[in-house]
Amino acid sequence: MTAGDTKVPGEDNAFKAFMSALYRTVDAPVTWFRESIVEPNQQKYPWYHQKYRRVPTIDECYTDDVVCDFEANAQFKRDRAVDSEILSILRQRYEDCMLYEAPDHLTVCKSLWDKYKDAEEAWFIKYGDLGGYADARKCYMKQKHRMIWEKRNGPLSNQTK
Amino acid sequence: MVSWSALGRSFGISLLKNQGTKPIVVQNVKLSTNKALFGGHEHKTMPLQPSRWQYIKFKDMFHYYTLVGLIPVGLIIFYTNVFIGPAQLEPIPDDYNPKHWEYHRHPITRFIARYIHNSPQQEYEKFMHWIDEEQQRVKLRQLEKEIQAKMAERQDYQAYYYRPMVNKYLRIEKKISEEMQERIGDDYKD
Repeated sequence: MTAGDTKVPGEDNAFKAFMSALYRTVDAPVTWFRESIVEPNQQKYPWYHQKYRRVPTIDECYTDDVVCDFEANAQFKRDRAVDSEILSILRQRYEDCMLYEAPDHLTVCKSLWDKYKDAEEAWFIKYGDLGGYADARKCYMKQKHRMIWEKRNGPLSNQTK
Repeated sequence: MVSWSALGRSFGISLLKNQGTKPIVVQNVKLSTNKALFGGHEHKTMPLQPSRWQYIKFKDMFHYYTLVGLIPVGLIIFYTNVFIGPAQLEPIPDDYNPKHWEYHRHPITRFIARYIHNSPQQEYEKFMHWIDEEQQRVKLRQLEKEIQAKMAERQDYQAYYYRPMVNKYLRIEKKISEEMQERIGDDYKD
């Protein structure tokens, strides 16, 4: 950039200057209202993300202990939600990379894609195909069946080695 | 309806002259306060016009929902968003146990969670207590069924047919029956 270059990157030609001026006709009053009236008057106080204690899982519960079963189920649902969000974050990373790097995203974003695919496979091995009434017990039984199958037929995938 | 008999006619005429206020005409409807006294004198008209019911009803509902709903609720929401504002996310301090409403961001949600709803932990523990109690009942019923099945199978125990008795009422009844026999006597023929 030379010293005589005073144009803002978004307004370096007449069309872009016009479009950003058009945007500012709506944005400027709203921003002014927020910065001068709203933000000085707002109170600052915290909120937190809840941390749940780990409770015994379904394999540590007696068969007739409904309370233990209920708590293990609640923990299973929380863990599944957290794992789903992690998978979603990995997918978003790959998608952002793909949008930015297209059309050569297949080579540039490959590491992100591989990580996402591994995570997706692991998620499916653990939580997939459990149905609409998924339970901690059903997931445990799925793991048991998978282990029996692996004992007979060798490892299922790279994620379970 | 007042009918004009010959005797009361002069009285009626003087009434008419004294209270003859002109009836008010509003939107083609003749309104007057003393119509009932006259009875069938003027030419009655029913205004032939399309119904104004929907328009009036719309005005009623519009006023109700804005003045009672939109404006007060809008003012509350404006006040909470501008002068209180949403909370900032922070990590939990080491020695602090946050209350259950401090896990929400918006001040109105926090208000509802604090003053209206029970805490999630309370509901969780209440439910667990209830299912535990139901599970105890289930176990009792299962045990009873097993015992009855065994008794039916072996036929060696009569405890199922035993009804627990309280002898106090039997004693009272015995005394009453003795007293009655003394009074009435028995129908015994030798």
